[in-house]
Amino acid sequence: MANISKIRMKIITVMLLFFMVIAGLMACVMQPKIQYYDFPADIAEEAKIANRKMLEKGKILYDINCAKCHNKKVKGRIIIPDFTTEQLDSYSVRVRNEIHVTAIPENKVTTEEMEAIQFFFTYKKPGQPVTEQ
Amino acid sequence: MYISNYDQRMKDFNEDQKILADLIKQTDISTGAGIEKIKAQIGATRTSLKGLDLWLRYLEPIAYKKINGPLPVEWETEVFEKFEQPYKREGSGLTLAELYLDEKHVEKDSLLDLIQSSIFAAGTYEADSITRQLQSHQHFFLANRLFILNLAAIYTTGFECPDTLRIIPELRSMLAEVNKIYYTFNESFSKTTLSENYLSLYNSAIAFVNKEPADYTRFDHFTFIRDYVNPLFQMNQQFIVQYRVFTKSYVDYSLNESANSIFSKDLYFGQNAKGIFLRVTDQQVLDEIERIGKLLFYDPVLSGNNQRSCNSCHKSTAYFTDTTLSTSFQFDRQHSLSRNTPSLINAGYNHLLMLDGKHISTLSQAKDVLANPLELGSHEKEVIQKVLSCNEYKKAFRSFLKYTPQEKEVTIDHIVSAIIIYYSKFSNYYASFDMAMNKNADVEPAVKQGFNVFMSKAQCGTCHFVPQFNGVKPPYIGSEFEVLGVPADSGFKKLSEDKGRYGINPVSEMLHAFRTGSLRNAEYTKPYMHNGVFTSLEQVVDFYDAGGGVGKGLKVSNQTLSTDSLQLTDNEKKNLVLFIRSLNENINFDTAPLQLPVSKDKLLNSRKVGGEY
Repeated sequence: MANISKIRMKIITVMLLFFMVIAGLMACVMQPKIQYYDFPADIAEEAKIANRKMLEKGKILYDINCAKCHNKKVKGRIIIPDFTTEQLDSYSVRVRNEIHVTAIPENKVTTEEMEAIQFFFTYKKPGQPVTEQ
Repeated sequence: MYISNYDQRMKDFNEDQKILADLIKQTDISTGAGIEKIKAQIGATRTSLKGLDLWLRYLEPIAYKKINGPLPVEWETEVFEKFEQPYKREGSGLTLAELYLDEKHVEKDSLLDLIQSSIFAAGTYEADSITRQLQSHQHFFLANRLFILNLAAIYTTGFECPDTLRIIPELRSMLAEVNKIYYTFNESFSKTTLSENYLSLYNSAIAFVNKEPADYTRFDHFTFIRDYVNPLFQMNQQFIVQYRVFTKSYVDYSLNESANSIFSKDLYFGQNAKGIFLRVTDQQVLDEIERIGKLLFYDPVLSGNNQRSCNSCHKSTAYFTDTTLSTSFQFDRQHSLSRNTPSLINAGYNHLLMLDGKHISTLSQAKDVLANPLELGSHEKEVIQKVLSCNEYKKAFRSFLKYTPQEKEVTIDHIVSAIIIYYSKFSNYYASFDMAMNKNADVEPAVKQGFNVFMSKAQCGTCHFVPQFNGVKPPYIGSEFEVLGVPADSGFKKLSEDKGRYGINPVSEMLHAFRTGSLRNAEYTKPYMHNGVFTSLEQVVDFYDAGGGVGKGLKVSNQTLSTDSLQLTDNEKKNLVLFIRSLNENINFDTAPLQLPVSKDKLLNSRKVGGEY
C-alpha cells in the first residue's frame, strides 16, 4: 500500500511538474497581450469596453501611419515613444509640424482617426515596447 | 530691407489710426461735414492698411477681423476646429466704423471703440512670434498665395469695402504697394526670389487695372482673373514647390500645393471622398469598391421598408437631386421633408454639410440619412445585417477588410464609404467657365459680362466665392451662412419658418441662416433655396435684385443680404443667368445597375433597383 501510494505520489508529483512546465510554456507562448494602457479603476465596465476598442483602433492607426518615423530603439527593444500633452495637442493642428503637412494630411489620416491615435497616447502606459521579444 | 519695409508700413498705419482716433474725439459728429471729415481719414487709413494687407491677413487672420472685419459678429467653425462648438468673434475696425457712420444715430463712444479695438489688435503684429516669421522666405510665398486668391475672390467685389466707388482705386494702390514689397523681398532673399517672369506679369496686371475703368461695375473682372491673377497663382505655386516652402500656419490647412490653377478642383481639400478607404491607392481596388458603392446607392436594402434608396431623392438622372419636388417625400410617402434635397455633386467642397451645417463629414452625413426615421428609416445594425445577407456584398466587404486593419469586422463605415466613393466621382468634372478661365476654351462675351455683373453690381461674388461659387472663401477653411429672408411661398406672403443654422447654433445671428450653396450645375438642380420655393433661376435673380426678403416686404430682423434693390437691368439679369449656366459641368453620368445582389433572405429579393418611391 505504502509503495503504491509512493508511486502515486511520484506520478502525481511528476504530473504536477509536467503541468507546471506546460503552464509555464503556455504562459510564455500565450502570454497575455501587452497592456498598453491603464484605465482609472472607477471607470464603468461598459465604458472600458468602448474605450478599449477605440484604443486598439488608435494603436493600429499609429502603427500604420506614425510608427515608421516615431518608433525608437532603446536597448535593443523597439519602443513606442511617449508624448507630452503639449506635443499631443499640437499634433491635431498638423500644420505646426513641417513633416506632418505632407506625411499625414487630412486625406491620409482623418481628424477622427487622429483623435483615436491621440486617445491611445493619452492612456498608453509609458515605455511600452512594440512587441514582446 | 524687407523687414524694415514691414516695420515702416506698420508704423505709418498705426500713425494713421491714431490720427483717426484723435479726429473722432475732436470732431462734432452731429454735422454732415464732421462725418465726411472722419470718412476721409478712414479712407486714408484704409489705404495704408492695403499696403500691409498681404502680410496682416496671413500672419494673424483673427486680429485682422478686429482691424477690418466685415461683420459685427461672426460665428466661426473653421475646419481644424469643426469638432468644437462654433465660437463668436466680434469684428471691429475700419469697414464697420464706416458702415456705422451711415446709421441714423451715431454715438461717439461706440465709433471710437471700433477704432480703439483696431489699434489694440494692430499691436499683435509687432509680437516676436509674428515678426520672427519675416526673417525667412517661407511665410512670404504662402502670404502671397493668399493675396492672389483674394485678388480673385475678395478684393474686386467690395467684400470689405462699403463704398463701392473706392474698390478699384484701393485695388490700384494696393497692387502698387505690393509691387514695392516684392522688390524689397527680392533684395533681402536673393536665393528665393520672385522670377522676372512673375514680376513682369505682375506689372502688366498693374497696367491692366490702371487702364480699366475705376467703376467696379465696368471693370473687366473676367480678364483680370483669367489673364493675370490665375497665371500669377500658377507661378506662385511653382515657387512654393521649388523653394521648398512649408507652412506652419493653419491658414494653409486646406490649400493644396499641387493645384496648378485657381479653377482646379483640387485647389482646396473639403471632404475626404474615400471615407474609411482613404489610404487605398490601388485603382483596381478602388474601382471594385466603387462598383459595390454604386449597387448600394441604388439598393433599397438600406432603408427600413426596403423600398427607398439613396437614388430615391438623389436621382442620378437629375444631377443627384430631385428636380420635381420642392422638398422630397418623407419615409411615410405622405408628408414632405422640410428642406430641398441638395445635389450630391460638389458636396465635398464644403467643410460643413447640410443646409444647417449639421455634419462635419460625408461619413456622418450619410449615416444620419440611414438612421433618420423621416428619410431611410433604418438603423446601423439592421443595415449591416441586411447588406451582409447578400453574398456579393459580403464577399466584397470581407475582401476590403484588409485595407482597413483598424476594423476587425465590416462596419457601417465600410458600407457608407463605398457609397461616398461612388457618388464623389461625379464631382471631378469641369464647367465651360472653368475651361475658359484655364484658357482651354472660350465663352461667349455675354457670359463674361454676366460674370462681371456677378462680381460687382449684383454682389453675388461677396457670398458665392471664386472658384466653387459656394460659401467657402479664401483661404478656404470655413463655410459661411447667410440670412436671405427666403419666403415660405413664392407670393412672399410670409417668411419661411425654418430656423436653419439656429437649430445647431442657437444664437440670434443664426436665426433663419443657411449655408451658402454652390452655383455649379444650378440650371439642372432646381428648385432653389432651402425650401425649394423658387423654380427658375430668373425668379432667384429677381429675389436678390429686390433686396431679399426685406426688399420683398417681409420682416426679417437679421437679414445679412443687402436689403437695397440692386437695380439690375433686364440685360444684366439675362447675362447673369447665362454666366450661371456656364457653370454647368460636363459630367459623364452613368446608368442604373440592371440588378441588385441576391440575399439569403428571400423576402429581400423582391426589392427593385432604386426602390419604389
